[in-house]
Amino acid sequence: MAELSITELSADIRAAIAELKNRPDIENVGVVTRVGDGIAWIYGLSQAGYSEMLEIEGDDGQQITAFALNLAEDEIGAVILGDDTKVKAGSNVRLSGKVLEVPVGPELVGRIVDPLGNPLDGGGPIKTKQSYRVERPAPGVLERKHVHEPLMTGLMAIDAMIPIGRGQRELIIGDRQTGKTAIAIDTMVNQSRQKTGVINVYVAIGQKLSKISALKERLQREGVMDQTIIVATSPADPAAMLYLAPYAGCAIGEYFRDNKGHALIIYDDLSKHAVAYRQMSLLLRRPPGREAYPGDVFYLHSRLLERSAKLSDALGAGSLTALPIIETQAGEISAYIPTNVISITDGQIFLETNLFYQGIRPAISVGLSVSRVGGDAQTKAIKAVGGGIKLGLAQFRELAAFSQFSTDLDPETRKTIERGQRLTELLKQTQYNPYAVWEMYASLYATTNGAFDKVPVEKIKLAQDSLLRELKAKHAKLTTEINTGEKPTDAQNEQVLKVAKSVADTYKVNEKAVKE
Amino acid sequence: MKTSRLKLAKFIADKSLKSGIKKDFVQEIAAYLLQNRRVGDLDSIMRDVSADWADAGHLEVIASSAHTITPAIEKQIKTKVNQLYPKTKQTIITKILDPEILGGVRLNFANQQLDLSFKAKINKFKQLTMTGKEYN
Repeated sequence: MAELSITELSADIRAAIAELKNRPDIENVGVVTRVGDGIAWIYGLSQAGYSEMLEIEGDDGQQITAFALNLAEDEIGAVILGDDTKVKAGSNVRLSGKVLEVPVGPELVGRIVDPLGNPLDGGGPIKTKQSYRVERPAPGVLERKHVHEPLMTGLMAIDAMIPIGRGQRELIIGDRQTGKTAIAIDTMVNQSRQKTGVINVYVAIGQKLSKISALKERLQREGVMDQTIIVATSPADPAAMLYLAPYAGCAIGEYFRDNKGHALIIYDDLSKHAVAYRQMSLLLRRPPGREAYPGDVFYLHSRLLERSAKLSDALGAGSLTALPIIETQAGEISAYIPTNVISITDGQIFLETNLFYQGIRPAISVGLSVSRVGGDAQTKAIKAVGGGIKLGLAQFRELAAFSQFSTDLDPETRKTIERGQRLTELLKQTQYNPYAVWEMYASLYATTNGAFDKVPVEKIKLAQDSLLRELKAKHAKLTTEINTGEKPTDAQNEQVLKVAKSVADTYKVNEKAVKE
Repeated sequence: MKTSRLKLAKFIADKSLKSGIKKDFVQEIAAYLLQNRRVGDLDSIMRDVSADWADAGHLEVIASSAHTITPAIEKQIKTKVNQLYPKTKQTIITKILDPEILGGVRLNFANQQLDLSFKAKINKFKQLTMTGKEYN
C-alpha cells in the first residue's frame, strides 16, 4: 500500500474543493411561493442558514437581497431588503453562502450611509478596505477592562451627577419633545470641541429624512461632521432596514473600538427599532407576547448593547460607548421596552416633560437618573465638586414641595432651598453649548461654596457667564490647569472663589433698596 | 440528520486503510463537504483520521523546528518515535520551519505532542520562577 499521509490527503481534498467550487454546476434553487409586506416565503433551499443572505431574481432580472429569518420544515421566511414589489411568486432564489456584512473603516467618516453601507449623501461611492459582519459576538470577559476613562458630554448636569465613561451604555429616556436627541447631539459636539478624537456614529432609526438633513447641516456648521458617521433609515424604508440599522452602526463603531480608537454610538431610537422588529416578527407569524412583541425582544437589544465595551490593554484599549434612546408614552418608564433597556444598560438619564416646560433644560430628573459605572470614570476635578450636588438637588426638590404650604421656614431649610434654586438655574444649559472641564468646575465650585448666594436666582446664568469670561480673559493659566481634570489645589480653588465673589458683587441684590 | 465528525473520520480512515487514497475517493469527500457546507470541519476531520491511522500503525509526525532538520536529526526523531510507538508500521515525518519555537524540535502526532523546543523550556522556567516552586 502506498504511504498514508494526512498532509497530502488534506491538500488533495482542499484542491478538489477548490476545483468543485469553480466548476459550473447544478445549484440549489428555491422558489418564492408568496410575497407581501416585505416578507417572502420560499420553498426549497433546505440548506439555508439562519440570517443567511438570499438572492431573489426580480421580475426585471435584478437581484434583490433578502435574509432568512424563519427556517421552517418545508419553507423559509425571508425579509426583503430591497423593493418587494419587484419580487413575484415563482421567482428563483439562490443561497449566497454569506451573512450580511457592512463596509467599515475611516473612509466612512463624514458620510451618511444606509444600513448596507450605501451612501445616501450624494458624495460618491465609498471605498473601504474592510467589511464587518452586521451581527458579531460581543467581547468576552477577558477581552474587557473596567470603564475608567471619562466621556464628557459637556452638559454640566450629566458630567457632574450622572458621569458617563468610555465603554459604558447609558440610556437616554423620556417622552417625545423632552430633549433626548439634543443631549446626544451635544455629546457629539463636545467630542469635537474638546478634541477628544472620539468618532461619533449616529444611527437614525426611522427618523424623518428632513430631520437627518437638518442634523447633518448643523453638525457641519459646528465642525462635528468631520468625526461623525450617520447611519440613516427613514419611516419609508422597509422594516428590515430599520431592524438592521443599529447592528450595522454598531459594526461600524466596532471597527474603531477594535483598532485602538474610541467611538460613541447613538441609537435614535430603540423604541422604533423594537416596533420594526415586532412588525417583522408578526408578519413572519411568530407568536406574539406582551404588547405583541415577540419573545426574543429582550435579546434583540441585549445582544446589540453588549457589543459596546471598553477593551483590555492587550486588545488595544479601544472603546465603544453607547447612548441608546428610548421614547416613553406619558412618562411610563415601566412599559415593556423601557424596562428591558433599563435593565440592559449601565444607567439612565430620565428626562421629564414637566421640567422641560418649566424651562429646566436639559430636563433631567435627578431622582430617576443614575450612572452605575461612570463614577470611576469621572474626572477628579468634577468629582471634587459634583459629589454633593445630586443629594443637594434631591433635598431641595423635596423641601421645595413642602415649602409651598408654609412661608415660615427655619434658616437652614431656607438656605437649602435657595442653594437648590441657584443650582437648578446654574445647571440649565442651551443647546450646542457644551462646557469644558474648567467651565463646569469653576461654575459648580463657586455656587456650592456660596459665592453666588447673594445673586438673585434669575441672574445666576449672567453671573456664571461673567465668571467664565473673567477667568478666560484674565486667568488663562488657571483654566488650562483645571482643564487637565486633576483635582485643583487649594490655591487654585481660592483663586476661583475670589474671582467668583468679585463677579457676584456686581449682581448682588441691593438689600437696602429692597427694604425701602 | 448531520453525520458526526467522528463517524465521517472513521469512514475515511477505514476506507483509505483498506484500499488506499484514490482520486475518486478524494473528490467524493470534497463534494460531500461542499454539499453539506462542512468545509470548515475539514481540519478537525483530518485530525481524527490521523488518530485512526495512528491506531492502525500509520503514524504521521509533524516536526516543527526553528532551523532545517538535518538527516541525522531526522534519524534521531524516527528512533524516538519508534520508542514511543513501538507498534508503528509506517512513520512519515513532515518538516515545518517555525522560528517562533526558537530552537529544539516540537513533534505533533495525531492527538499528542512532544515539545522539546526552547520556547517550551523557557516557558517552563518562567512558570517555575514565577510560582517559586523547585525544579525536579
